[in-house]
Amino acid sequence: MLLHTINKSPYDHRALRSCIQFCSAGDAIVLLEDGVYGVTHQDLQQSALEDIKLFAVQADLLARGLPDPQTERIQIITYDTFVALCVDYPRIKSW
Amino acid sequence: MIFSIAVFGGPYSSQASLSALRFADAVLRGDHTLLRVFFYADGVYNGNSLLVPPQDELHLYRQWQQFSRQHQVELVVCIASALRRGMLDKNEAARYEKKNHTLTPDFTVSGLGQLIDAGLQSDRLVTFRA
Amino acid sequence: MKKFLFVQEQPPHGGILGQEGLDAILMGSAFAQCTVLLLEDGIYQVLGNQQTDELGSKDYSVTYQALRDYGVEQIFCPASHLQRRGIDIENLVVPVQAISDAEVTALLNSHDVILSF
Repeated sequence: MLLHTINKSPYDHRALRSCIQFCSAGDAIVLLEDGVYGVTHQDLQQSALEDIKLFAVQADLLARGLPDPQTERIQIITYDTFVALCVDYPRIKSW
Repeated sequence: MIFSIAVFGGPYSSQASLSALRFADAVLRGDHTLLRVFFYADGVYNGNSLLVPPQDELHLYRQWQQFSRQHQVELVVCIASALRRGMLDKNEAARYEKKNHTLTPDFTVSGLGQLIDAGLQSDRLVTFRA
Repeated sequence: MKKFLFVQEQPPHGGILGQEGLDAILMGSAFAQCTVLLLEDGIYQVLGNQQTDELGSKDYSVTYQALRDYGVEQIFCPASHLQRRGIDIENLVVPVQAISDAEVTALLNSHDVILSF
C-alpha cells in the first residue's frame, strides 16, 4: 500500500502518468501544488484507477481558482488529512 | 508517529518550501513528533537569512525561523549542497575566506547522513520536491 | 534493517539534482540496504560515452560503477522507459536490470523508505 504525491501539472509533466503506470489497487494519490490541475485530467478518469483513492489539497485548488470538481472520485482534503493519510500508508513516494 | 520532512526546492522557485511548512504545522497539530526538517539540493536556499521579500508577501525564511523556534524543531541544511550554493554559516564563511555568511544558527549545517538517519529513525519521511 | 529505494528521475548535466541523488545513494549505502531505480530520464545518468570535456560538467556515470563496492548491487529500470527512449541496455555503463511495470510496482512496495530525485 503506497501513498503517491504528485505536485506537477499533468498537462506539463509526466509525473501523473508515471505514477499511474506503477500504482496498484489499494494505493492512494494525493494531488498537491500544481498537481491539483490534474483533477480534471483524463488520465484520472481511467477505470484502471477504480481501486485507487484520489485526493486533492484544498488550499492548492482554492489558490489556483479551480472549482471543486464535485466528484465522489476525488476527495478534497486539508493538510491535516494529508498527514493522517501518511499515517495510514506505510510508504510514500513523491513524484 | 515520528515524522521527518525533506525539502528539495528553494523558496519561491517552487512550492516545496511552502507546502513543507504547511505540512509541518499539520504534523504537530496531529500530535505527532517532527524529528527533523532536512533541506537538500535547492532546498538549502531556504536557509538564506538575507531574503527580503516585499512586505505584503509571504516571508518563508521568517516562517521557518518562527516555526523552528516555537516548536523546537531542528532545521538541517546539507553542507555539501549548501557550500555549492553559497549557503554558508559563520564558520564555513571563515573557513572559505568569504566576506559574508548567509546561514544563521536557526539552521544547522550537517551532513547528508542526517537525511538517511531521518529515514531510519522516523516512521514516515515525506519529501517535498521542486 | 530498513530498506531504502532511491529513485533517480533526472537526466545528467541539465542540473545537479541527479548527482545529488547519487550522493544520497552513496550515503545511504553506509547505513542501510539500498536499491536504485532509474525512472524516465534518470536512465540517461548511466548512458555510456558521456564526453564532458567540452561542456566542463562532471561525468558522474563512472560513480555508478563503484556502487557495487558500496553494497548497492541492484539497479533497476522499467523496460518500457528504456524502449521509449530507444536505449540499448548494452550501452549503459553499469549492469541495469530492465523489469516489467508489475515488477516496478513490487519494488516500490517492498521498500520502507523511498527517496526520489
